[in-house]
Amino acid sequence: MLIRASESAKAHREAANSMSKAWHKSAPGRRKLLLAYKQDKSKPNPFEEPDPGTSTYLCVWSLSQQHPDDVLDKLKDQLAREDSEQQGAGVSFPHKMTPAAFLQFALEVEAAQYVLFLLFQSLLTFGPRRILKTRGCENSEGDSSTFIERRRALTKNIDNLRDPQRLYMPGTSSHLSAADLILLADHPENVELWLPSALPSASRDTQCIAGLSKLEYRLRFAQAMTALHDIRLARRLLRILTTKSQTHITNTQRPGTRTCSVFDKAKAKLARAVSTYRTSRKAVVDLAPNEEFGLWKDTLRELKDGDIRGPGKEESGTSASRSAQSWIWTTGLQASSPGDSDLDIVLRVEWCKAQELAKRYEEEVQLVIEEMRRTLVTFKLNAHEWEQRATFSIPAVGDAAAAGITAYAYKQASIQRGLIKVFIKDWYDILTDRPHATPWLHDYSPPAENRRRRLVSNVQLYHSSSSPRVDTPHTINDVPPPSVDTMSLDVPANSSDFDD
Amino acid sequence: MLSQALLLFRVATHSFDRKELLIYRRARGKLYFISLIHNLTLVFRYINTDYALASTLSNDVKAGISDVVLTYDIGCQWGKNLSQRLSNYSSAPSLDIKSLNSFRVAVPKFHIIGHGASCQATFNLAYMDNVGMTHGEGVETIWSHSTSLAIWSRENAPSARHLILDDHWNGWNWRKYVGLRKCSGPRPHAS
Repeated sequence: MLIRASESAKAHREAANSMSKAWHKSAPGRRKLLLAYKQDKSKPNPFEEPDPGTSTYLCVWSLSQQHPDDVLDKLKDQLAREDSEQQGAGVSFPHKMTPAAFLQFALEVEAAQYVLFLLFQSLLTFGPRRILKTRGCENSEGDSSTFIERRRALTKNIDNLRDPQRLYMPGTSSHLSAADLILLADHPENVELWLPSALPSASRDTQCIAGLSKLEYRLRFAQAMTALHDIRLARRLLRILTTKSQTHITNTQRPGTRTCSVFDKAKAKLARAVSTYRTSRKAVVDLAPNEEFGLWKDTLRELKDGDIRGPGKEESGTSASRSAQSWIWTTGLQASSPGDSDLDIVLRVEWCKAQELAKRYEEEVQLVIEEMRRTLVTFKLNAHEWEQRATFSIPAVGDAAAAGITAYAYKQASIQRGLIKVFIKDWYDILTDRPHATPWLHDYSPPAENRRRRLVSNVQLYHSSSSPRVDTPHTINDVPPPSVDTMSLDVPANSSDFDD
Repeated sequence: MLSQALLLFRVATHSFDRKELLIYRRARGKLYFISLIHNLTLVFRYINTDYALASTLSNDVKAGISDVVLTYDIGCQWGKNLSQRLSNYSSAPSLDIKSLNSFRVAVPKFHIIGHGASCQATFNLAYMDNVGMTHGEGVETIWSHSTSLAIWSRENAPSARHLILDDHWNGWNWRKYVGLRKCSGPRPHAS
């Protein structure tokens, strides 16, 4: 029990600390909120999740809001500033598109390729009518255009991309082969764009102009962070929808098509964000496998399918006290001012719960130790009581019976003392590892032999405790009088208090 | 730091052959304490619970317990005017909750799922300090055993019934006692 409790305590404390570390900017505010609530229950409750309201569309709308300090947007602004500074300093670029603008354009083209790829897949699977339904995963732009038109637009965009690419990445012209051109006309969504991250690392520096790899790294990093944020939003949205569909069950046999379409949208959003994250992370890994351009390994972890869960505990599965939060909720958070957006509040609730859980487990360790103290004290008290009974004089019975009564009392007392020995044998090593928590342990003598050997099988344990070996002989004359120090009790003599 | 004077307590009412059975117990063990089991022959009322609480807890308080955490399925309602009710009783053992260092009421972890959001936040053992991973449901795990005793002892007179129940629960306690070392070892055993 103690081992399990302390292991869990350690694990949950680590999880709680990693959450605090990830949200170090907002942690003090949260802690204050938690403390205020603990002292005064009328303060806002930090464990209460926000109510998403009754309108599904309202919560969809509120969740599709971009993060106020979106990393990618900020980086784009910064790159634009850097470009204008460079142009102001007299640096001229061979193309009207600057390298930064070229890469941003390339990322947009890549995203459009992905959307078109999905559309084409569903066209193959479901036929043309279905395409209208999968619009949920599209950008708002170009919604009205047909698939063919969109393809043509993409082809044109890729063409536009090639011009600056030949200038900024002179080594790639060999990759842009004739077969590539045929593919471009038929399936532009499958054309390899040949960004720096796709080039072999050995020849990357010779094939691109200086600084292009780092530029792509910065963009990809920001893209991954934004995708991570989108994943969190979509997960939260799915969570709300699941809860709503569970709590607001309507008594109708009509299919809830509206809810279904919102579900589909949320799922498509999630799938797209996951794909974006994986693509951009792969680019980051290829560009800077040894973190050449900055630290990313702690933030951008590999996103496995199992990691896409939360917030909070899953509906089916292990209990909250056994399951850990996925890393997507603790890393790469775009720390903003302590916001009041829905996601911020949800994360705050999760943080508060994690802190409390870690604390509970740490208390559990102390409680188990305290319970062992009470157990031993109870045995001691029981033994003491039996020894007192041994000295009762009962005039009505004869000498022989009185001797029998005394013997029985001593036997019972010795069973209790045997239990103390057995428990000390099991627990002594573990308790001595925590000297500050067990100042009372020196009242008990350490187990004499085989201190380090523990019983291996449960069967053995069971039998040894059900019939503890009685060391004292059962004739009265041989019974040693109980020594004073083993009888001394440092607790109030009320057995009902020390029974657990 | 945990107080050595902390007591985790559990109140349970067991519907028992058209009579309510009231059980007071330590929240973390699985033993019956016979002196704490009260046979409620009347309609269930708070006064019965209060009387049983006062009669057991006053002993503990005398013995030096100063921090009490009490779990009860309906603790959120029952605990509301508890101290006021206790001060009004004339014949119950005197128990002044306000003299305690702390007296907190919680709803056990399995039952709290059925409560509303405000209960889940306020009476939740998970968010209470110094209770560890106590769930407070241990007493109810025994009910599968003791429910059959209801029919068993239905035809008995009150005293005989009391003796039968005593016998069975002592037997239960003995079996727990025998397995105590197995289930309370320092490291987890496969069970």
